[in-house]
Amino acid sequence: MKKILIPTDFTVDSLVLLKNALNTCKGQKLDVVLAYGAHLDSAICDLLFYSKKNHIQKLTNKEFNEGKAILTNRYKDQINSLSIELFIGTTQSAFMSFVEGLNISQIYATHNNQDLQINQKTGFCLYKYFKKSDLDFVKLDYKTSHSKTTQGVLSKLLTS
Amino acid sequence: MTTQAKIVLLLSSIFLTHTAIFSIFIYYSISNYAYNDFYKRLEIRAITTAKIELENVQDINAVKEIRLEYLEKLPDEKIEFIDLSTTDLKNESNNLNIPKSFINDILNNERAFYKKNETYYSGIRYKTIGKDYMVVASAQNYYSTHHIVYLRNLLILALVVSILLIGIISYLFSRKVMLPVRRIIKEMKKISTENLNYRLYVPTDNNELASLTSTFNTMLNRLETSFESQKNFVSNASHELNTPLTSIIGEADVSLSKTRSPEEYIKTLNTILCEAEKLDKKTKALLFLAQSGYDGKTQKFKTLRIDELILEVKDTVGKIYPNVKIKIDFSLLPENSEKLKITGNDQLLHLAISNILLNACKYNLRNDVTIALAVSNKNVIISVKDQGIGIPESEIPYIYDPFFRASNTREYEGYGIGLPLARNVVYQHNGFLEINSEENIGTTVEIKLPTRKF
Repeated sequence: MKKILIPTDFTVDSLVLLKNALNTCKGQKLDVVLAYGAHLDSAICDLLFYSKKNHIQKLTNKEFNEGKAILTNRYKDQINSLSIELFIGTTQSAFMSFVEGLNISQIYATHNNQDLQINQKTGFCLYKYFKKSDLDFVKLDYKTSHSKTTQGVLSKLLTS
Repeated sequence: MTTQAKIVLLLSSIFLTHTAIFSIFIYYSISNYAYNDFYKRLEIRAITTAKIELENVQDINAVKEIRLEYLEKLPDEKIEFIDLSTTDLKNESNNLNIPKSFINDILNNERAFYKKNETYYSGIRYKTIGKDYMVVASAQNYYSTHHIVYLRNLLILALVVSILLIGIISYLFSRKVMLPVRRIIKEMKKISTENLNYRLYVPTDNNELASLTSTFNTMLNRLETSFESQKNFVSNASHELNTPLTSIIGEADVSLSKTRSPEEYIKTLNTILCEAEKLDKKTKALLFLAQSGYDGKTQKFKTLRIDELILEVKDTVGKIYPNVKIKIDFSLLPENSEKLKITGNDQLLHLAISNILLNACKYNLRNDVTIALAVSNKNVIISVKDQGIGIPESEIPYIYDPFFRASNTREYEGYGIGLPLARNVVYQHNGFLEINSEENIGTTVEIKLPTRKF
């Protein structure tokens, strides 16, 4: 089964990328990995008691989880598994090991690395790693509406 | 008896009993200790005196020293020696004013104590080589006559003072505890049929009262919903029926004002028929509105399919606004249709969603009105989007107030009841209503309802 990687910034807008990727691969069953480049805390106590689940919980919010559930329910047949992974390395080879460890065969992302709004304090953009890697890169369109009328979870997912 | 009085009485009696028992315990412990202490002192005097008088001369100097240095003379101190071998005990008991039982005790147990009024007696049996004596020491206990009496009086006085103090404190305490309840009663008195939208303030620091007030607020929500839906029906009915009736009457009047050609009469009759049909449709829709409002029984929740409900609502609203194109977006519908089931009252939900959709159609300016549906793990989400006049930003906080109409709705008819009604119904179903709007751009309403729990 194909395993694909889609970058995320834990906003509902970024889930539109997931929707577009699934629409592009109609008919195929996929394993999806939502990847986020995260900064690790440098305090010893946090490193000692580090838990990936808690880290992800701190980064995600209710709207994101709701949007994720909507898409999981809608594309149930297509999504074999959907997981969130944090990339905490800094070098390109670390990224390659990350990708190899997860068995990723394709990356679905936009060409513009400004699309995702990543909070620089907690994370970083993965786009430069995508560029240098030799994995299959599939370009996606990314259209979000930032108008005041599309603030709810469903309306954000329905744009584009 | 009020709860407040009960609290005061209960608290006071508990504290009083406790203090009384405490005082009694202290008093008796101290008296007991004082008695025993005194008896022991008498006993030591008896023993030392016996030693001094009845032993050989050599040993007694040390004892005499001890006696003089450490054992001061007690008030009314008397030491009696009774030679058991020679004296007759019966007479002795009369002479010394001590009972026979006391003497027998000394004989049997080697030592005994006895108290008569304020005089304390301590007796020992002193046996030595060749002599068998009974020594009885007696004295007045100053301590018991004065100090313990003082203690007793002091404790009684303290008890009386503490009754007063405890009474005052428990009264203040009961007032403080009942204060939130009194406040709630005062606030509840303000609620009447005119201001059913008033809600009680939910305290954040008291769980029991918070749940009481929020339950009361929920009840008020339900009351308000049914009230409003009745009012809604009456005002809607009178208006909606009025318009076509007016045009029917107008047409008939004009037509009858003079003799006209058959073609003109046919035209008039066609118009009347058309308006009557419109009237018929509207009456049916209004009747439905009434059914949801006039439900005298308690709301029964049953399982229903949200997608079917949405299609019904689209039909209903489509009849009232046949010119507006209502698009249904089911693109994010879950693949498992079991997830589309929710528990609720279908008539109330129909009322709420149709109100939202009616607003979208009424205030729409261009393009279509879209209604979309999707399901997440916890909620069913319905989104109604229009590209119409929108709501001015400064007025958004007031849109849920009954009868409030935004400033840009002057050219549109309405009573300002649909949205508060819809919100109350959604809250009744433990859901959320979220409105995002921009003036002249459009409005999007999202309704979230919890999915059916298994």
